[in-house]
Formats: sequence, structure tokens, C-alpha cells
Amino acid sequence: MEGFTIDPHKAGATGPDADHGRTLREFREEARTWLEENIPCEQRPRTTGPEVRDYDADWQRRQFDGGWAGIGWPREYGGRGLSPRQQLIWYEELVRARAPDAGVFGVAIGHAGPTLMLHGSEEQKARYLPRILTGDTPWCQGFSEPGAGSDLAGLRCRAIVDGDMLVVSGQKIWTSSAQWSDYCELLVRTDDTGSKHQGISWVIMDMHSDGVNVRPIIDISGFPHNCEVFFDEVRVPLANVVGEVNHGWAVAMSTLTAERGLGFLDQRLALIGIVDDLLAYARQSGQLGDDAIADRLARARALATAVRSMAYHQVAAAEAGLALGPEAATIRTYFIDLQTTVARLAVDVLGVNALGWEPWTRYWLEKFSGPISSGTRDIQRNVIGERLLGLPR
Amino acid sequence: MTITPSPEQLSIFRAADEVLAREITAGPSFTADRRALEESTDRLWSTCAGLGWLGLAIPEDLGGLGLGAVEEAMLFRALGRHVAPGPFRSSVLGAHVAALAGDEQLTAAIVTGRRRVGMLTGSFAVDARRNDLVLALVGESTFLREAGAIEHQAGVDPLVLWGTGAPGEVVAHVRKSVVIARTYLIVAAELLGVIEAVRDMSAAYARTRVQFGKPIGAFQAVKHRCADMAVAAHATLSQVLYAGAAIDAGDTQACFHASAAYVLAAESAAKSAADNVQNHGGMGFTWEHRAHLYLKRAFFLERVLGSQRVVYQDVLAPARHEFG
Repeated sequence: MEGFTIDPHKAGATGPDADHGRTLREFREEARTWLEENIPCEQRPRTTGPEVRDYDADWQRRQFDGGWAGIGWPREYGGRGLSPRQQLIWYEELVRARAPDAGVFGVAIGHAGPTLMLHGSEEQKARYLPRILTGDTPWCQGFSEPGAGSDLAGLRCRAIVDGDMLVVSGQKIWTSSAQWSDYCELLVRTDDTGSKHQGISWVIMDMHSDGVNVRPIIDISGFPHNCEVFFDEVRVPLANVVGEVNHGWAVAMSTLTAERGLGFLDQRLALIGIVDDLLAYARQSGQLGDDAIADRLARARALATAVRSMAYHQVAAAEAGLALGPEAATIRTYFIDLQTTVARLAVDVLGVNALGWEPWTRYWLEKFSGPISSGTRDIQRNVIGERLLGLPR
Repeated sequence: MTITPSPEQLSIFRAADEVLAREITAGPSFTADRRALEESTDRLWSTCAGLGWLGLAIPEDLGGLGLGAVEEAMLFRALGRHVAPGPFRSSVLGAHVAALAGDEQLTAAIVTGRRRVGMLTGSFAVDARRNDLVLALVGESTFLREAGAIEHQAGVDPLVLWGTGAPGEVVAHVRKSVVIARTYLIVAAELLGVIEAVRDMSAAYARTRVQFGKPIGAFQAVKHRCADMAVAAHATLSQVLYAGAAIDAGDTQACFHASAAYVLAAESAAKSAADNVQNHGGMGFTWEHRAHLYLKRAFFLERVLGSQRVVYQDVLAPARHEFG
């Protein structure tokens, strides 16, 4: 994390807007005011129907109409074209306001969009990007398969070229929000004669195509967060391949890099608000008088604070035009471990009430997915050991 | 937002690292023999005082270099990395206390290294000799006192001069609140140095030690312990830099951020230093290998200011995080 810097300041505060005077402070003030007036009053539904997507779409649309969607996205795709620092300020204000996250739009905004911007054709960009920030088209991520989890390159979902079409057959699993999505960033095998990293293609799949069958999977928190998706000779235009046919692995790596970049910073920062809320609850309920609980809350809060400091570092790197590389895996690993700690602390603060079907109880259960999804904690540690510390494979 | 160190700030770390590598790590090995420890500490002390290390963040008109808390943290990061002996943390803090109390002569005496400042921890004297001063954090105050007579004895950290004493008169005092953030920051930065050192030590060993026909770093159990150290180092460095920037900016949450840095650093260093012993197998259990020095320094720094529970009070103090 060394070798670049942001100019010094002496301003009486240390936030991202500290040394930039009026412009950034005004930006934060505007964001704060807008959020106070506009965040949804109702909680996100925990149901299985279209109302889940409708809720997320309404919130996304409201941010878009208010001029707050896609702070860092280019203007031509509906974004604001602002700096990583302003993106960070917006995320901080989302946490402060306890605003809902992007929900079913997380994949579209966090990595399908950024991947298309990097690798998509002009036609693909013009067609798909403008309908993301507006809350019109949620995407899902079709990477994992029953036989290809941590070993992603072992994927077997097949696509055969037939004239100017691809014919896709196979299965994906753990596809989050597939039941609510219009498009899927789908990895398929278009050639199985070379090494496993060759012959993969990154395809835009219209989830409303004939032959696509989505089956939700209820997770241990009782919510159908993930799905199985079956493709039975689904016909997709060859024009939907992003990048070149058989060269999708590099495109997929961009997708995963975006996933660890600034796009999901809001979810990491949200942990700060969660710990603050737990602390407030413990204060009010008298639990803070229990030294064992107080000690754990203090630890969790100290550790959550560093999430923000690491985010500032990441933003400083982004502003210097540097990608974090394997350091991104350290940030994710730190966050996931802390989230697991906080989730368990939450049910312990709740005491006997946690035996009911309480929001914190469900939070604890839901976060068991953290060390499994997006590369298990073991895979993340392999990446850190091998790429950051130079340990042998 | 100064969260990544500037080239100048980094150069302080590198320069200090270089000096300490030469003077300590590559130098004659330090032993538990008190006389030998005092002699090698004396040599190190005059070298480092001559380089201006004791007054890095003391205003120039008081004989310091007028730099900030981030620079100071970078110095202590290097001192921690080499498990430096000598009363560095207490003397640097002592210089701040003297400066804040408005005692120019005393400040100059400490900054030039003429008067060393040890520390009182409970009824114990740390890194103090007769005729030195001692720093004491008591209740809401921070005192500088004459050290008085000290009875030296063995302590857990072989590179710390340990003893009991009956401190003499108070020569300066300030409210604890004006130095506590800096105190947390300095100790956190030393612990950061410990984490980074054991991370590098473990990774180097795991790359070269061969068992079952391959380097042990190829085994996930070892690899993941090393990875955890890298995660801890990254998080701690980020928080130390943030807390330093907050202190330099006069941020109202500076104490909170520094206390968070200390809690994170203490916990991470304790785990990393213990894992480092494990990674080195039997060698890590020997007095000869440096692994135990880091284990003991981490343990020492975790409680040198008293119970972590006291630090927790500062972490829990703000009702909520402030943004902007």
C-alpha cells in the first residue's frame, strides 16, 4: 500500500472531504439532506414474489431520478461521472442514513456494468448499460456450477455455435436473485479441447429466453437468495458474447476484480452502522453492563473502524489509478471474518430473544454465506499467501 | 484525506528501518544480561537521539523537527519491527508532556536524549534507571516524575529494563486527554511493526523450509496462518495511518480512532506472534531464534498501559461513527 499519496491537510477533520473545502463538503451535505428526505420508510420485503424486485427497483429509480445513482459511472450511461472520493462520501452517507442496499441490482451495478464498460462492444454498451441505473434491468451472475465452485475454470455449461447463434445447455447454481433478473452474466464452455481456462466465453443471457428454468433455493435464513438455473438448448445471438468467443476467462477475471473493487464498498461500510446499532441496543437494554458483551462490542467496533480506514486506502489507490490486486483479497478476508464475528455478537446481545425468528437471528444465519460466496475464505487465503507473500502453490 | 503515507513519511520509516537493521537485527545479539542490554541500549540511544528521533513531532522552536503524528507512527513502526530496546516510546511521549506543560528546558533535555524517560506501569518501572524520569498515566492526568531508586529484576520481555521503584517528585504534568491519543497511536504503530516483521519472517521460512518434499508454505494450514498475518498487517496499517492523520488534523474523533488502532493492533500482534512461533516449529521455541522476542514484545505492549478494558472505554465512547 505504499508509493502514492493524497495531499496533506490541516482542516480539523479527517474524512475524505477534509482537505477539499467547499465542493466536497457541499456534496456531502446535499447527499445527507436528500437521503434524509428520500430513504424508503418500509423494510425490504422478505418474500418470494415480484414485490422484492419492485422494492429494489423503486429505490434504485428514486436514486436515479434524484441524481444519486452511479456516482462513479460515466454520464453517458446515466451516472454522475464523479470521483472515487465522491463515491465514498455517498457510500458513507448511505451508511449514516441506514439506507437499503442495491438488492437485486447489486450485480448489475457492481460488476455486470463495469465488465461491459471494459469489454463490451459499443452496441452492447449502448443497449444494456443505460437501463441499469434506472432500476429497469437487474442482472444475475451465472458463474458457479455443481461441479465448479472454488474451481471455477472447471465449468461445463456448454454452448455450441450454430450459425450466428449460440445454443446453451447446462446448469448453474448459487445464482443470486436469478428469479428477479432480466439478464445473466453467463460463463459457458465453447471449446473443451484446450486447457480448462481456454474455451470459456462470457455471454449476456436474456433470462426470459425459452429453455431457461429458474428454481429458487431456500437458504438457512429462510430466504430464496440463490437459485439453480437450468438451460435447455437456449438460443442466444453470438452478438451477446462479451469479448471474444473462447476468451471469456479474462473477462470473468475483470468481473471478479470489479466485485472486489469500489462497487461493493457500501456493503463493507454498512458493517460500521450495524455495530453502532448493536452498541446502541446494548446500551439501551442494559446489556452493556455485562463486561463480556461490552468487551466484544469494543473489539468489534475497533475492527469495524478499520474497514473504513481500509476503504479510504482503497479509494486513494483508485484515485492514483492503481488497482489493488491481491490486496483486495485481504480486504475481503478481513471484512468477511469481522462480519461473521459481528453476526454472532448480534445474537448474543439479543440474549434469549434470539431464539425467536428475529431480524438479528436471520442476519446471523444469512451471514454464514459470507465465507462461502465470491471465493471461499480458504481460496481467499490461498490468493493472499501465493500472490502477496510469494508462497508456493 | 491523508490515509496513505506521503513519500516523506515513508522515507522516515525506511531510514529508521535501515538504521535499526544495522544496529539491532544484524548487530550483536541482545541477551537477558542486564549489563549487556544497558550497554547496547546506550549505543543505540546516542545514535538515534543524534538523528532527531526523540523530537520528530515536537515543534521546531522547542528543538524538535516539527513533523506530525503520522511521521512519529512511522518511526515506531520501525522500532517495533526490530523489537528495539530502550525507552523510546516513553521518552517521545515524555517530550510531548514537557512541551505541552510549557517546560522548554525539560523538553530540550529529553529531545536531545540527555534525560531519558521510562514509564510506570502499576507499581513497576519500565525502561527506567536511577536519575531518569518516568511517565505515569494516572486517572485523568499524565505526570513526569523523577524515577528515584529502581530495583531491577527480570521481566517477560528480555529487551525491556524491568523493575520496581519509588518515584520521586513530579516535574511536569498535563491532562491525560491531551496525550492519550498519541500514546495509543505510538504503541499501535510499534505493534504494527511486530505484525509486519513476523509476517515476513513466517513467509520467508514457509518458502524455504521443506518437508514431505515441498516448502511448508504450500500446505494450506501454514499458508493460511501467513495470510492471516498479511490481513492483520494491512488492516492495522490502514487504521494507524488514519488515526495519525486524525491526530494531525485535530479531529474530535482522534482519540477514538487511535484507541481502535491500539485494540486492533494488540489483538492482531498477539495472534500473529504466536502463529509465528508455531510456523517455525521447534526452532520457534528456542531462546536463540528471534520469534520469542516478538511474542514477548506483543504481550508486553498489549498491557503496558494497563488492561485493554480501559482502552475499550475510549472505543465505546462515541455514540456513533461520525462521517465527514
